Amino acid sequence: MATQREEDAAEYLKKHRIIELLDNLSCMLFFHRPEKPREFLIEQLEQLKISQKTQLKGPNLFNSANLDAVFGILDPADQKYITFAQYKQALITLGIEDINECPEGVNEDKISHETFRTEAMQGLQRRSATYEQP
Amino acid sequence: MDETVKPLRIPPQMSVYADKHNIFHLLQSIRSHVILYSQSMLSGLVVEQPADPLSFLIALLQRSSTDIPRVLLLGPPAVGKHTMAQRLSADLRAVHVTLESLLSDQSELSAQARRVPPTEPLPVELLLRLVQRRLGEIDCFSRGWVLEGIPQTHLQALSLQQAGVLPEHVVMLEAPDDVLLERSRGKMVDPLTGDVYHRTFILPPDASVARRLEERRPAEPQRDTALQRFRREVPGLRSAYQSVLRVVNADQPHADVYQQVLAFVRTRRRSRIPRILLLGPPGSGKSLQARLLSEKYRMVDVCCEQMLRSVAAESSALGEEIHSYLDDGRLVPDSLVLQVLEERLGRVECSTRGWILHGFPRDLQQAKSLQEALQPNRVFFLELADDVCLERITLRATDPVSGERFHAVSHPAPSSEVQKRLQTRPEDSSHTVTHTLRQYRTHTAALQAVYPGAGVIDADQDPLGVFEALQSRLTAD
Repeated sequence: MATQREEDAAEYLKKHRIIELLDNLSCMLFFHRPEKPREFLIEQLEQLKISQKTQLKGPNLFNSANLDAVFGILDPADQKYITFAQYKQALITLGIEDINECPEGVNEDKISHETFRTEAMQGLQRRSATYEQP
Repeated sequence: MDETVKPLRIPPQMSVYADKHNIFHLLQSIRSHVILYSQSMLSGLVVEQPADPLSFLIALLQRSSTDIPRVLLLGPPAVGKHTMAQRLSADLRAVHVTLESLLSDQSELSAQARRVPPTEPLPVELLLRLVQRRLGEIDCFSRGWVLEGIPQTHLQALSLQQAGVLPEHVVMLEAPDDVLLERSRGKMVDPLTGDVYHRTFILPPDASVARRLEERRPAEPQRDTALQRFRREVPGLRSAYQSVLRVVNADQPHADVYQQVLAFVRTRRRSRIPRILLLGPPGSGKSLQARLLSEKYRMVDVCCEQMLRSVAAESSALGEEIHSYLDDGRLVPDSLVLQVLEERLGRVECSTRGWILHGFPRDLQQAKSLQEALQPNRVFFLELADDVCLERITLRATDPVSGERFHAVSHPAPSSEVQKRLQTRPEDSSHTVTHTLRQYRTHTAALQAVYPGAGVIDADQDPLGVFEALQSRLTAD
């Protein structure tokens, strides 16, 4: 039986998305491996604060060049479309949760490069918005 | 298992980086079962629950370091807490907080506390608020603190922890009752500074101080109750702080006690993932010790030879190559060994649980290449004289029927019937062993130069003794 304090703490963590925040920070740390980890973390947190205020994109490990590369791998014949199954698997691999199951083009099973990029960017944005959601 | 999924490899550089900057302590992984460090990010958030976590974290990271001292100094009356705490806080440049200092300021809280008769312990709520307030002040916040003689009971300890007052180190001084008695009989206090001296053991530095000294001998029944009360609370206090506690014997010369306390307080808490190298001549017990250590500490036991053999048994290109070397009885070239090693030690289980490697490196070149790629953080040399090595190995034999292994001296065959059947392995022949031994001896000096901080363990004792020695080196910082 969780005590009141434990429940309060769990709720706090969930509301402010603390675990996702620390996960993202750890990923950044281990990927970049800066000489001065504290300063690096402070920088990331400042950027996150700004993105929280302005609703602009927060810090993230993937950028649009990475997304283009992923699409290129999935579409080697350059048909400009990928299947829904490919689209979903790629988003899962990028670590995105609550994927949009009905993106544009799902009925023809042809997800365009544009659609893929938009959905991926939005998903990544949701992942990096590790602060209280209004 | 899905063959198309490649096994996850964590680059060893990540463990090295984490170790170097003590990342896990900083982040405080949620997988740890008890949150004890309020200075690290996650537990700070859980304890304080600030409305703006991002700003809170930034402020926490900006504080100069997580290494400010937070020490509790506990012990029975007359054991020497006051002197110790004073000296410690001076050396660490931390604030010295005593019960007296908490009671002696001008606030309403202190006045309330002073109204409590001295024979009774302070009510927990009151003590908690006094301590919290004092430790929250700017000097304690930035320089750290040494709390003397608080908490006194298990209940107080728990309340302090709940309120987020979490020391990094707890020192409990101990001495037998008769020593305490002796000390309390001769206790003298300087009323001006509060310094504690003793009529016989600790004399004041000069005559002017000596003239001021007052006897502070507590009445016998009071002293005995205080002592009894402390002894009753000891198990509770010890269990409350068990992971940060060190008990120090105060029945020694003051300088020795102080050195031990200071050394302990200076150790940083590290959650270190072991990357251990076990080196030594054949017969020194590397495989056995590696197995014992890996079983106890749940790290991965990597025997270089076995690893190569298992790769050789695979049908991969690398395996075939290695197989041809082993078949011909030639030494597998360093480049191949390192390749296999990096792959093996880069696996997830090795990165998370740690590893202990034996049978490699054997010479300077191998050691240097290993250092670049995998940087072990503990190295041990098992020392054993040549004749003992020879004896341990050449007298080994196996019973082909039961598969049991025996040793002519330490573990002889049970009957002469078994004795007759026994066979020795070609690699256990004295010729092979002497050769390997000579190889080891030529390279030892070079290896020891690569690992100057390595521990040297005497392997000429029973395995349990060696194991104890290894363990104590491992757990010391």
